[in-house]
Amino acid sequence: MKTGNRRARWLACTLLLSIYLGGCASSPQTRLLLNDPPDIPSRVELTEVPFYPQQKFHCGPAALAGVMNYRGVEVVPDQIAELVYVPDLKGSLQVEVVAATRQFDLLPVKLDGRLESLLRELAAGNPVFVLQNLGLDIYPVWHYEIVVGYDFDERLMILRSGVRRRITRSFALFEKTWQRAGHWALAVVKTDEIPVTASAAAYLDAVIGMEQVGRIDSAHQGYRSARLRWPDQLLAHSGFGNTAYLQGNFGAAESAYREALALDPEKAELWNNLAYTLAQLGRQESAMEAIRHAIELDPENENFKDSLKELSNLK
Amino acid sequence: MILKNIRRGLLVVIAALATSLPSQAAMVGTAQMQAGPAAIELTDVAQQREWIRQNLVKGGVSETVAVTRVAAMTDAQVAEVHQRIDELPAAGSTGEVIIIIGLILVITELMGYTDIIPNWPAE
Repeated sequence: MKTGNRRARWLACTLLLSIYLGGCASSPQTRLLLNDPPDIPSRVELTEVPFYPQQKFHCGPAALAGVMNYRGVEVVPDQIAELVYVPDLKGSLQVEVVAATRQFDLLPVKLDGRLESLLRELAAGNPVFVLQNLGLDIYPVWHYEIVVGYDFDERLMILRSGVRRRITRSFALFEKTWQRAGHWALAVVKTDEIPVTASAAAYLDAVIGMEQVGRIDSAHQGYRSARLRWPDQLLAHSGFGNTAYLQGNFGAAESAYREALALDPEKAELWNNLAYTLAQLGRQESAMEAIRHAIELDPENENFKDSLKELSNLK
Repeated sequence: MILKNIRRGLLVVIAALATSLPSQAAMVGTAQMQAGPAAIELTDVAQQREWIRQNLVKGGVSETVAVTRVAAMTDAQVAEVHQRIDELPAAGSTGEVIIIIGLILVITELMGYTDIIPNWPAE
């Protein structure tokens, strides 16, 4: 009687859990992908992506070292751990992973969260650094991995994971564990490369980050790549100008600002920066005209008024 | 070595901004252009950076390393981590699972809903 009760309760629990999980266990992207296969090779494996078996809690540094080595940057997990590992958290934050790649002059470009984009990047030769939640929403088991390939016929993702050089995970399961980690994925590329699925906004975010932390030469190269690929992007030209200015290349800065202004003649900040550039080139009259124009466009801006004062004093 | 590079990178910016013109240059950086006029106050960012630095040190990162690590973050990243360092995913490994939760996870694992033990059960 008693055992029967217990068994019934156990059964009920399992049943409830199954229903609960069944309800949210769908993998919508996988279904769409299989219904309408993209125009890419049916099987890709980037076997040359290096592998470091992770030390305790160091899956971030190990995986990151793999993708960085693949880009020709010589670095070992311990060096990266110094930049990302937080002992009490027993892990590494995404923000610091992103920051660490910049310190090696590689661009951490965030992908759009679509499974198809991961496959397209792999087909283009770009391994993808992903965050996974291998556990549950209520009991997360966070883990960084490198996706190095896929097999469309077998519906498998191929990964470097933890202490295992090569594991596979079905598309459907990968989608679930990835979805529980917010579909977070990075393509880590050199500044003269652009991940095939990257949006202009995502790529420019990565380059602007590089500029903000003071890696001006790398940011400059990134902006160069961006303006070639997306000539209609204001920030690509603006950033190219700003970094050229910081490098002391005022001629290049001027032409980049003018190209940006051709896209948006009312962007007051550009007139401000152009004014400083013209002053550096010794063209005082034009500089004053440019800064006055910035103030006309945005009369409330205190910064531009300061600029006017400063540039007037240069005379 | 790497940390030294970060410091050098920052010095380059500061030096470039400071020496390019006689007084404080008022060039507008690309991040500011992107953020627009709604950009957060510099003093706020400084306070947030200090909060993160203190919490990294609390978390076991050495004093000097924490300074350079915070310096390697952009303002947007600082805003992301500020006040939330314990809530954000900090991925480490797949260990230390409590027994009861372990049992649940065995079930979810068998059902193909989790993947704590890769390639088990066999596909």
